[in-house]
Order: sequence, then C-alpha cells, then structure tokens
Amino acid sequence: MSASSVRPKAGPSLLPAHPTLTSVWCRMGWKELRQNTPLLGIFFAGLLTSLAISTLAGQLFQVAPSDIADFWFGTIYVFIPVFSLAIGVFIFAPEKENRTSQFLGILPMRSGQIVFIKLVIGLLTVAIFIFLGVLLQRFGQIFVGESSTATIANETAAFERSLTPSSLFGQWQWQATPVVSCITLTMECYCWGAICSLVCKRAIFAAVLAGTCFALASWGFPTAIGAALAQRSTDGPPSRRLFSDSFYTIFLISKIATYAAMGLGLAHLGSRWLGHSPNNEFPDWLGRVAAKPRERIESSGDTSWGVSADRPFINSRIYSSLIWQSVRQFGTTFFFTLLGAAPFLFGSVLIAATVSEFQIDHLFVYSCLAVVLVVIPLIASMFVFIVDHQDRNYRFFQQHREFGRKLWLARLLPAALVTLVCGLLLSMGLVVLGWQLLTASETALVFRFALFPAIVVFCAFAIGQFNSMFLRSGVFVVVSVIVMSGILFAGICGLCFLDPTLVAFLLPVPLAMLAITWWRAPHLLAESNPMANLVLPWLSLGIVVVVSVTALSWFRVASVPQTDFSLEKHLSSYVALDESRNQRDAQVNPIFERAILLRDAANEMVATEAVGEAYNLRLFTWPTPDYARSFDIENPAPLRQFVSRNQDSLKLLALANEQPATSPPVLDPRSRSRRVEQIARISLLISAQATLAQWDGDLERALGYWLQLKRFTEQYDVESTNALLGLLRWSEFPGQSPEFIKQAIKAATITPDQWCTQTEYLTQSRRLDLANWYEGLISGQSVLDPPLGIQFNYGARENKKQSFLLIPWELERSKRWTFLTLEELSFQRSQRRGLILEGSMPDHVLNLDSSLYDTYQAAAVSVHYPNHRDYDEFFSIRDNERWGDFIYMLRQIQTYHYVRVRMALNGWKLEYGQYPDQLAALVPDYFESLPLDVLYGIEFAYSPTGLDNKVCVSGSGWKSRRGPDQQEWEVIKLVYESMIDSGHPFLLPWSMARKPTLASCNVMDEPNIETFKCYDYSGPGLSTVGHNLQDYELPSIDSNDD
Amino acid sequence: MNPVIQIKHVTRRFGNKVALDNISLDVPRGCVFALLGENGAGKTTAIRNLLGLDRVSAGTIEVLGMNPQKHGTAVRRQVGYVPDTPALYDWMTVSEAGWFTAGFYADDFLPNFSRLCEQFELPRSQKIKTLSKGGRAKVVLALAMAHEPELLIMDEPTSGLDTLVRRKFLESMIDVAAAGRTVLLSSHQIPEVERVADLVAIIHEGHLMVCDHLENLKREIERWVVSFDGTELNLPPFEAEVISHAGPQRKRQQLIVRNPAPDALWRLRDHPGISEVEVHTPTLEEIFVAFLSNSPDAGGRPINDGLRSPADQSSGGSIT
Repeated sequence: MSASSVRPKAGPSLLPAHPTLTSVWCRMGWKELRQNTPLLGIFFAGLLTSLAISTLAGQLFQVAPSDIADFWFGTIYVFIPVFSLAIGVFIFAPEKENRTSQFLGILPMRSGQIVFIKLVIGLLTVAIFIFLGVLLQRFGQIFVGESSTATIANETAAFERSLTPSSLFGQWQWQATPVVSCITLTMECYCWGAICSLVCKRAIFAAVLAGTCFALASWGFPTAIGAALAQRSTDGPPSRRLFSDSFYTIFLISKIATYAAMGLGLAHLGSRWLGHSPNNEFPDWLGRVAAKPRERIESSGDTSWGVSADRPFINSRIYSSLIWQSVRQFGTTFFFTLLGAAPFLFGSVLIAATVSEFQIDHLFVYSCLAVVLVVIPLIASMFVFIVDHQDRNYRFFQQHREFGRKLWLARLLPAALVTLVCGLLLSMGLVVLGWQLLTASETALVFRFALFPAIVVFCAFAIGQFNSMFLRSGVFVVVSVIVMSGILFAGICGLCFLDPTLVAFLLPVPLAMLAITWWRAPHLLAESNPMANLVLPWLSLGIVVVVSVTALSWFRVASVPQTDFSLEKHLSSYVALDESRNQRDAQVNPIFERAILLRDAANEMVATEAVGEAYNLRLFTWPTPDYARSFDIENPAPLRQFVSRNQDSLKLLALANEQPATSPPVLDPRSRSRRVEQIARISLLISAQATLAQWDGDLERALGYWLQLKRFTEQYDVESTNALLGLLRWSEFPGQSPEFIKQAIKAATITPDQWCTQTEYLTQSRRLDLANWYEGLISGQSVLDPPLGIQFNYGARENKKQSFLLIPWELERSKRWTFLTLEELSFQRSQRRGLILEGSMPDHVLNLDSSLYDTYQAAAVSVHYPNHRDYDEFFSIRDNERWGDFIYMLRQIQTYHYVRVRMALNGWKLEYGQYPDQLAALVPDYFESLPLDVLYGIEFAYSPTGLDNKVCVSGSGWKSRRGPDQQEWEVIKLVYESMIDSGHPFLLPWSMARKPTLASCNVMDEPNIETFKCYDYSGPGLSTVGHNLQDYELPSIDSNDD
Repeated sequence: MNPVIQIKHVTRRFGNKVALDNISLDVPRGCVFALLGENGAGKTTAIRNLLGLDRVSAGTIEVLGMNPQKHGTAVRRQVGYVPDTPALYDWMTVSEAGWFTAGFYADDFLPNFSRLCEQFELPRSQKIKTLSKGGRAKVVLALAMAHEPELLIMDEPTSGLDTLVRRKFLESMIDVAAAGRTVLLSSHQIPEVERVADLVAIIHEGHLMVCDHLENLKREIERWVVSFDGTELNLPPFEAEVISHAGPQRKRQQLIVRNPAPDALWRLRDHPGISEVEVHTPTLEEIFVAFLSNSPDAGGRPINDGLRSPADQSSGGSIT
C-alpha cells in the first residue's frame, strides 16, 4: 500500500512528506477546522434561519426594511461574541471530554507548541466573525435603506459634532471606536473561552459559564473604571466621558493589561496542559473529592435498593447517600466555577453602577435575567443527568439496581433547593430595590408581576432537567437550554403583557416536563429501547403544549364578544366614506379630484426615494445659505431626476387636469402596505407638481397642491413633513404677497371636522386591515402565518417596544378588541362632531394622564378648545396604537401651528420689511387668536433677531429616579441646535412636537418660565449658551433654586 | 549494551500517597518486559514517567539514554505508546487518523501505517467510532508502531479484547522483540504475558517485589504441597525463601519458595508428621499471586525461624 492511498480525501493534497512544522500545521489545521465544523454550521444555520424568519415576518406584517435590518444586526452582534466564546471553549473542552488530550500528549511535540497551533487556528476561525462584525460596523447601513440611512446620518451628525474630540488622535479614536470595540469584544470572548476551558475540570458548560462571566467582567471593568476616572477629568454630561481622551487612554491601558494577562495565562496553562494530563489512578484533590460519594455508596453495603414490601420507597439512608453524592460530585464543580467567576461579574456591575453610567436597578434586572436564562437551567441540567451521561454513571447505578425515580428525585431535590433560593433572592432583590416602571415595555410590565421571577425560574429549571435527559454533549445542553429558556421567557413576557393570570395556562408545560422525567427516567437510565425513550417524552410534551395553547387561545378568544368584521361589509363602508369625502373635497378644490384620478396612474409607478430623502429634513429649521443652495430653484437636481423618471405619470396628471374623473377610484383594499405605498407615490407626484407650478410662477396652483398634499397624507410621516415644508418654502418664494399668505394661512387651518374626517379615514383603513386579517384568502397572509407564533410588530417604528409574540388565536382576539375600540371611538367622534363649531381647533391638551397607562393600558386625555371654554373633550386611549394615533394628531396640530406662524412671519416681513417684535402683533391680521403650543398651551418661544448661539430649552415632566425620595422632578434638558443665521428670527414650539414618554410623563405641567429668567435671555423660557457646548453647564433644579 | 530503560531510586508521591517507592530497574534492549501489578500498584504512573508525562518526586529515569522529563519530545519520537484507554478522534476514519498522526513523525510513518492496517485487517475508510473495541485497539497499536519505535510501551493493551485478537496482538510483540526492539508490557492477562515475556517485574503498592527473567523465576521458584498425617501441623524450620504460605495449621499446606537449600526438601520429607511433599513448577500467575498475597498489607505473616521472606530483600533488581 502506498502512502497516497492512505491519505484521506479530506486532508490537503499538497502536503510535505517530512515531519516539518508545515505538515504539523496543516494537519492540526485540518483537525481543528473539522472539529469546529458543527459549531460553524450551527452558527451560520442559526443566523440564516433567524434572518429568514425575520424577513418573512417583516414581509407578512409590513415591517419597514430598516427595522428588519436592525433585527439582523442585533442578531449578528449577539451571535458573534457568543460563538467566539464557543470557539474558544471548543479548542480544549472537547479534548478533555473525549480524553483525546491523551492522544495529543503522546505525540512528539511540546504541549505549548500544540496549544499555540490550536489557538492560532481558532483565531483564524474567529477572524471570520471579526471580519463579519467589522464589515457590518462600517457598511451595515446600506442594508437599512437610504431614507433610514439619511435619518440616522442626520441624527448622528449633531451628536458627532458635539462629541467628536478635536485632536487628531481623538478623531482617529472616534472613527475606530466601532471597529475596535467589535474586535476587542470578540477577542476577549474567544480568549476567555479558551482559558476557562483549560482551567475548568469538568466539561464544556462550566467553561462556558466561567468564560461568559470573565468576558463580561473584562469588557465591563475597563469601561467602568475608565468612565469613573474620566469623570474626574472631564466635565459635561455622562455620555461625554465615554468619548473623552482620558477615557480612551485608560480604556486602552486596561485592555492592554487584560490582553497581556490573558496571553500570559494562556502561555502558562498551555505549556502545562498536555505535559500534566490527569492521572486517573491518582487523581488530584478535586478528583478525590468527586470520587468519595461513589465510595460512600459502595461502602454502604445496600446494593439492592429496589422498592418492595420490606423496602419502602422512602428510605432516608438511600436518599441521604444519593443526594450527598449529587451535591458533592456536581455541586463542587459548579460551586467553584461560580465562586471564581461570579465576583468578577457582579464586581463589574457594581463598579458600573457606582460611576452612575447606569442605574443600579437596570443592572440588577439584567443580571437577574442572565441568572434566570443561563445559570438556573444549567444548575438543573448539571444536577440531574448530564454529568451522569458524561461520566457513564448509568452503569454504576444499573449495577446497583438504583436507576429510577429515586435517583431522579435525589438529583432533583438539591437542584430544586438551589433554584428556590435563587428565585427567592431574585424576588427579594426586586422588592428591596423598589423596581418601578421605566418604560412601557413588556419586561417592565412583567417585572411588576410579583410571581414572575419564581415562575420563570421554575420553568427554566424544568427545561434544564428535561433537556439533560436527552443530550449528552455539554455544548448542546448549554445552547439548547439557553435557547429554550429564551423562548419560554419571551412567551411568559407576552402572556404577562396581555394578562398576568394567563401564565397559569403555561404552567402545565413545566409540570409536564417534571412528570415526564419522573415517568421516563427509569427507562432512560436503564438504556432500554432508546427510540421510545426519545420519542415518548417529546410526544407527550408536545401534546401538553398543544392542549395548553389551545385552552389558552380558546379562553382568550371566547372572552371577547363576537364581532362581524367581514371584508365585504367594511369595504362598502370604506368606499362610501371615500366617495363622500371625495365629493366634499372636490367641491372645495377640484385639484383633489384630479389627484384621485392620479392614484391609479401612479399605482405601478416606480417611486424614487430621492425626493423624499431630500425633503426629509428637520422641520424646525430656518433657511440657511447651505440649505437654500441645496434647494435653489436654479439647481433643482433631485426634482429634475424625479420628473425625468416619471414623465409618463406627469403626463397622466396633466391629462387628469383636463378630464376630471367621473368615478373616484378606491385605494387598494387588499393590503395596508399597498395603500401606504400608493399614498407615498401620489404624494411624491403632487409635491413634484407643486414645485413645477412654483417654477411656472403659478403660486395659487402651487398652494393648492401643497394643501392637497397635506390633506392627502394620512399620518405624520415623511409625506406630511414634505407638505408642510412645501408650504413654508412656498411662503418664502419670490413674488409672494402678504395677502396671498393670509389666504394661505386661512386655507391651511385645519378644522375639527377635517381632523375627525381624516382620523375616520384612518380608522376605516384600520378596519380594512382587520378585515384583511380575517379574510385570509384575499391577502394570503393568514395562510402564511407561522403555526406556532409570529412577531406582532405592526407599527414597527414607533411601537417597537410593544412587539411581543402572539399566536394566531391571539391575533383573532386582538382584531376583535381593536375593532370594538375603533367602533367606540367612531361613535365618540360622531357625537362630538355635532358639538364643535367650525374653526374651533383644540389649542392644547389640558391633561394628559398616563400614570395608569401601564396598568390598564389606557390613558385619559383632556383637550381644551378655545372657543368652547365649557367643553373639554375627554376620551381614553385604550391600546398602544390608539396612543400612537393620538400623538400623531398632536404632532400634526403642533406642526400646523408652527408652519402657520412661520408663514405669518414671512408675510409680516413682506408687508413691513422686518419681523415683528412679538408674536402677538400677528393678531388680528393673520390670526384671530395666536396658535399655542399644543402640549403646554402657551405661546411659542420667539426672538425676532435670532440667536447666535445654541439654545437650551427647559421644561418639566421627566421624573428623576435618582432623587432621595424618587419623586423629584427634573428639568428637561433639550439642546436646540438649529442652523439659524443671525438675520433670521428664532421660533420654537415648547414641546418641540416631541412625543411624550409614556412612563415618565404624568400630568403635563407647564414649563416654569420664572426658572429661566436668571439666564441671559432674549425671550421667555430661553437661555443662551456659548458656542462651545463643553463650556456650558446645563441648568438644573438646584442651581435654579439658588 | 546500555539498557533501554534505566530507573534509579524513583519515588513518586501524590499528596500523602506514595505511588512509586524507591523503584530501581533496568530493561535491556530487544526483550519483552512485563510489568505486573494489581490495580493502583503504580504501573501506569511508572509508564507516564517513562514518557515524560509526569514528574518524579525523587530519583532518575533514562529512556533510550535520555531523560524524558527534559527531553520528552525526543523520547516520544522514538517510543510507541499504547494507553490503557485508547483515546482517538471518533470522527476520523482510520486512514485519517494515520494521516493526521504522520504529520508528527518521519515520512516512513504513512507506508508503515498502511502496512500495519493490512496486517491487522483494519478497514481504512471506516470511522473510528464505528469500530469495535478490538478494532480501536488495533488502530492504536498501528499508530504506535508505524514510526518503528525503539521502545514500545503498552499499558493494558489487551483488556477487553477477545481471545483471538489478544493472541494475535501478543504474537506481534514477539515479532517486535525479534526485530531487536524493546516492548514494555503492562497487563493483567498473566497467562498471556507468560507466553511472550522475557522479563517480569511485579509491583505492589509502589514497591518493586521482583524483577527477573521469567525463566530464572521459574527455575528458582518452586511450589511445594505439604501433607500432614499427624496432629502436629507446624512446619519445621528449613532453609528457603518462602514467598507465600497457604493453609497453615491445616493438613495440606502450600508453599511458594525461592532458592531452597539443597537439603531443605529432604528435611521436610523426613520430618515426622509429614506424609508427603509434592514439588511443582509454579505458573507466572501463581508466582504473581504469591508475591502479592505475602505482602504485609495482604495479610501475610512471617513463618518459622530460618525462613526467608521476600520482605528481607531489597526492593530492586538489575538484570542485564
């Protein structure tokens, strides 16, 4: 037989025949890669699966591509360090588990050399992850989408401007931060995994546990210490410290020290690894401790522990021996692992808390989550069966005829005790810290539920002991337990979000897990009929899960009254509403009629994002030279591009102008996303047409287009902003006259009737969506719903935190409730419409009480109407979507007010050659009453001569959680940094049209104007600051009181 | 000729437990050396020290003229080792295991491994995890022999193998020794070892009880069966090294003696009350059991005046 015939196909073909270092590298490289193949396979399979599921769910539920991309990035960023840790652990732990380190130990090569080769090859594997992470850091935005990229760029630009260090070194740090953080985190996970797998005596899971703790600690310690020390040398807000030069210096030194320590540790441990392989005949002290329990059982003399008449099931001596054995054998390893690693983990948490970068209750909750999701299941799996699998203890117990329920029970009792203690500690910690709601997310809701920690711990424990029956590899136990616990946690969160009492429907599942192990444990340990031992438990568990979910769904669905929301019914009402609205609008303005005709023409048009992106600028900015240049009519590049691409559609628009439509078309009833896209395309066309009209000098026609564009868009979004911006630009257009502006302001006044109609239009659209869900055959969405769970993320961007897992039955219930809510709101509005006179807009919100929002998922809102002092509208917002709609409405009103004031200022300047000294001068020429801030009910901040510097606007409403009594109100610190030339006035709504944060905003207090009078100010409520933000200390309540 | 293995006053302690206690022995070249002892006697510890996988507490070891603790890599390059529990990568095929290991040895490793696979009838394309226990043992043996080592160390190589495989396995040891190389064999299968071993060393609880050529042991050690016909059941004094004495105070007693005086047997036969003394040549297993059963911890007791017990000997030997 020749050598070539023996050489395997899997190995490299061009290998040297001599035992050179190259040949060793080639062979070791092949072995390591082959050994890591399953892990890499799991990584990429998991990654692709999660991406595919998220994409599919996103398509089904019309999630914005940028949100899907965000989920991708999040998934990948979690996968990369986790799998780097796994790769590090996989370098040594499998060799220990399979005892192949003996094989390596007798090879004629030094231990250090082999370890070095293994580490380098593992590093090359990790380099794939690092490359992927760096690639995403640098170029990941291209997946998000252009418009989102532009938004992100706009948002981060100001942040970068204020935080980027001025020095060259600082600039380099700023640019290199994401890449360096990606590389360091991945490398640390890898190195700690390798070190812990070298140190840990027992198997993979201990190495994973210890590696996770040390990686977190080595990541958190330098950050925390750096931030703490940088705090002494850097003034300004806390976030600034993380970007200061001193922080970077400390951080880098800490990292270098960490890597030096890890390198020395690896070199030392690696040189001793194979040179001192364990001696089974003469084990070390830990091995001797582990061997004692078995000796004790063997020396007990009772080797026939079966249950019989004279041998009762409860035999304290047997149980004491078995429990003692399990505690000593398994608990020793765990105890020392946790003892060694936990101080580092929690030490970093405490240090981070002390530097006040994070709030301690946040950290505690996240630590609790880590304990619940990782540690508890691992305790359960370790105590119960996994070590028995690995050490082949089955045979011992089989020989002694003790392989059944007593063994299972003896394993379970200490694990349950430890779990119980952990659960109690978690609950007590939550109580002691006085956990309160910070956000409206499901996690916060869940933690308000007192029994939540105990339930989750119990379920995680059941999962751990159930999985340990089947899985014999430590790494698979770790991965499966964490994944299943995560799914279970998400399920419990979802249920608690709906109704905490529903968790009772979930409890049969962990109970069934315990019962099944009780039932099958003797058979599993006896290793009889392995197929039945595998199939029967999972089949039984599946039945229990299906029954539980069915019962839960039936209960939920049956608790809501039946509602007829078939598509036909609501489609007809939708069409009727659309027709009536069209007819009414057609009488007001014939242009709308033509635009309706255009809908079909634009249906198949390929919309370009260029115009939307170009217009997607901040509304509350005044024109600057740069801005004017970009929208100079002599250089309308985006519009020219848009017009050239859509010339055919524009021709249709012109055709529509000449030939009015005879029957108004209906927006596509099949899909909400299609309607939204239609609206977007039509909006783009109308805005383009309006701009073209301005070029032609037909300002009246242009105004009509802008107004129609605003009326056409149904939500506060890019199109609506574009329309308002268009109105502003229109008022500043050459050839404008004050009279014309006055007419435009009057025309741009939104009436309550229009407001209600618009909302009703939106309501009808929602009804159609509900009908669509019900009529699955039309859209096909219901057919494609995943059978077990889906990601309910309808209003993705604004309601991201409200996403939770829902089953299809739950969707059904949600539809019914939403439908009933819509009906109720429609009734309220129809009643209200009769009471409100024309022109009486609600000028601001009187009371916005969301303190009970998280409890009842409803907020009470009172709206004040200036023309009806005796009438305050009151209505409740029941769910998140309605809340979002309400906020949209407020934003709309606020934006309208702002735009109208701006237009009036432009008109005033045209009329008198300068801006008025006070806004009150605009009354009565331009307004009957001055528009007010929608949230505070006061005039806008205004300064006719503009502001040279940045402006700090302060308000109230944020509830401080750091005060001694936790009732302290903290001043809102909003830094308004607009591009304002000195020749322009300054105009700013108090509330900035921002969405109030649910949990932090109870009663909307008016801003305390007196507070700010002590500052250098040219108008009420304003304070000017220096050019350099670093030099400015933001105002606080204490300083104001002084 | 220098011995292949030279152990001088080696002691290895694990905490308070002494695994090897002042062991000294030499193993000549070209022989099959059997290292016998019960579980935990210290055989594996001694082998690990020979390979440089452990460090002795006292004493010196030389393997092929090198100190394995200092030159472990060079020693392992010229030594083949078959461990008691073969540790292989289960996911590799037989040929992959050979190809992988060949990277660490000279370029004749792969042809030799191929030849050995054919000799052992190993399916080269089969994964190791699908092989039987005997098949795995063959793979380990082929890997250990493929670089034609000067010294082949085998720690319990035949445990768990069936009779045919075991016999073939041991026969290959003879071939190795015939080729001028040395085999150090540690085994519980004493009848099998007896067939192939040239030299035997017995270790008990870290002490070297005996180390000698097998034929010398068989020539020097005799098994006497003494039958009494009277009421007096005590043995008279005689000049011999009594290794073990079974059934004292009984009518039929068995003695394992070494180097008896020429008249010792006649003095026993002529003693009143002794009807008969049968003389047998003991098997290696009987010798092994005799050495172990007479150790102080095994319940042995000193016999009459004039008897010499093995404990009187110094624990060490040198055979060249």
